Amino acid sequence: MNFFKENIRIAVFSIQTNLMRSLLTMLGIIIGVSSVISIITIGNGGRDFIVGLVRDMGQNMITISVNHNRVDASQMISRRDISSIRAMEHVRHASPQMFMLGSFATATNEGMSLALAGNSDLQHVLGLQVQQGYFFTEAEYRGEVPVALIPTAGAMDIFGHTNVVGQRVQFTVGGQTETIRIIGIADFAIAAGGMFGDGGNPLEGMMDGFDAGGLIGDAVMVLFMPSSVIHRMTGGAGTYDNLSIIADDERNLDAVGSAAVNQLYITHGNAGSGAYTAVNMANYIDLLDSVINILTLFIAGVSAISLVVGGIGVMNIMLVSVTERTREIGIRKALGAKTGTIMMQFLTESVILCLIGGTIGFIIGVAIAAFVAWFMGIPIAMAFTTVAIAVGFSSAIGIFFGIYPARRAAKMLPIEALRRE
Amino acid sequence: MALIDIRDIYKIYNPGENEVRALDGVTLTIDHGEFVAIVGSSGSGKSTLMNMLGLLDECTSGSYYLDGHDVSHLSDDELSDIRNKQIGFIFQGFNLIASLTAQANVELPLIYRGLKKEERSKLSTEALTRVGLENRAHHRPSEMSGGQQQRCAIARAVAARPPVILADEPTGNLDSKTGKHVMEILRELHAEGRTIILITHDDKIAAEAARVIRVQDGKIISDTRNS
Ligand SMILES: Nc1ncnc2c1ncn2[C@@H]1O[C@H](COP(=O)(O)OP(=O)(O)OP(=O)(O)O)[C@@H](O)[C@H]1O
Ligand SMILES: [Mg+2]
Repeated sequence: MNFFKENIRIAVFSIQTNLMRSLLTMLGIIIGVSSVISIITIGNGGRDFIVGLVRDMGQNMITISVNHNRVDASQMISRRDISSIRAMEHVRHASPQMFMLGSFATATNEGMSLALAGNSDLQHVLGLQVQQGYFFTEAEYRGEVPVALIPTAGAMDIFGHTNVVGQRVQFTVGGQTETIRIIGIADFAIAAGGMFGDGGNPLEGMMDGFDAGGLIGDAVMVLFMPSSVIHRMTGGAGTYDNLSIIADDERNLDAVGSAAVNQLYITHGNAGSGAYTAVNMANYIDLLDSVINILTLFIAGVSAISLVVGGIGVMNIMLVSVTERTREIGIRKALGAKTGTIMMQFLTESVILCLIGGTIGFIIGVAIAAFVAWFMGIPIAMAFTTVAIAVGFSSAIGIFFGIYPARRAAKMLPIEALRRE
Repeated sequence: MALIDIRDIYKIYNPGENEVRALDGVTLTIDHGEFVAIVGSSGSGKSTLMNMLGLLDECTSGSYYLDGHDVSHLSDDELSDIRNKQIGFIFQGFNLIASLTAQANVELPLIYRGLKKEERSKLSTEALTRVGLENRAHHRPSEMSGGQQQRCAIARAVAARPPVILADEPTGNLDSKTGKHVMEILRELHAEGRTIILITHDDKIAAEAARVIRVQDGKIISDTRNS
């Protein structure tokens, strides 16, 4: 015990008397540990964020799509098809999704307009929350009534206030202009937070991006409206190439999907043509899982590289500092130090340096990760095993290269070590 | 029994074409309590001989009995132990550790002997006082003059009170007054019963020893006793 205490005393003394060298040694460990911890934490946080976002975006959602090159116009999804699918067991909502770019004009403003259209279930399919007024009804959809809801941000942009129910907008698409009556305000329900700006929605973020890039005028008006109105304006056949279904439970996703597809084949008499496909969230999550695995591997790879880089730094400084002290080792041996005693001295020194360096590196790494996570609006995901591996690996390298050259020097003839400059 | 008994010691550097015979067949016995001076010109092999006697170096061939024990087959750690307990070194180049204070340097052999802190500081203070360095105890080697460093090295060699003192040019860097002081210390140590082996190229200093061994080109060319 006395020997142990003596060793620590000598080591602390040696670290103090060679403060600059000790700090440089620790710097290697600090950089290694902090970079690994920040990279892993930020990487995992980003991954969790993406996963959460995708999961939130469409729970219990099934998307049916029509394979354009295998069907003719008569085999597209009709209103009747949608009605019969809506009536199926386990189906909560079903609406097509139609995106149409047009332009709008009000008394004071004009610009591009993006219509997100569907039937009265569009609200559920897009995950919209009605803030004011009401969502258009199935009767309005069937009656092709020219009404629309707009998002809060759009109301602020175009009218400067949210008291917009009853306002009228000239909407032009496919050369036709109609007067659309605004019946409410609706916003996307998922708050993604941070990353996509204040709107908190990927789509809005995207729109903001267009805006910033000057691609679409200076004001883009998003309109949530009945697709039947757009069909009338564009003279379309009134059929759809997609249908989004919301099932009652996650467990029924596959069953509902195939039932809906079967129903379509029976109605259109084209079984076996591969005209319709159903993809549900579970399928997306499977796909997502493989993306996540790649992301995880990528993060691990980057971390491994920074560990190796940090490790080389530690190794380098340890090798240099011990080689520099070969003469000191020679003197100590000449005066009666045994190999083991010298090893203990360097081991204690290395362990102390690695402990201090590891702790500082850990704190800096967490601080960097916390800052970046805060800045990017992603969660902090600390993986303690990886932190342990980072600290452990750097320390192991530091300790190994702290004692390996010391051992080599300690094994020399004292006179050889003494001759080194 | 002789303290030191070496026979036919050779130390050959770079064997082959450019070989240097630093020691070329040296046979020598030194008894307990002797005061021996080894003299010779620069490069004659004095330091090589001292390193050999002090167990710091291995010879190319030959045998070495210390106190009757064959030391040529001892392990590294056993040799460290003997150096620590038996021998006090005063190196030609001081060999102080630059980062340590004078006192810490003097305490090094005491640490490896396993002495407690109080005892170490007592012995080191005593040794530093003996060489007149008590007021430089907390200075680093770089903060001391050459002569002060030399005296610090002497203090380190004597602090543990080893029975044998090997001194390589201990007066080489000193003015004649301090040199005399150093010789005084060595004589005192000798009077205490220690064996002193002093290496010098200065015949006047050698004359103070009871026995003078003259080395040239790695060979002993004369071995005389002053009376
Ligand atoms: N490591 C070495 N490699 C090759 N030759 C060496 C080595 N060390 C010493 N020598 C040679 O051995 C010879 C003896 O050297 P040594 O240091 O013993 O001389 P010295 O008598 O102590 O001289 P000085 O009075 O200058 O200190 C010298 O010729 C030297 O060049
Ligand atoms: Mg010499």
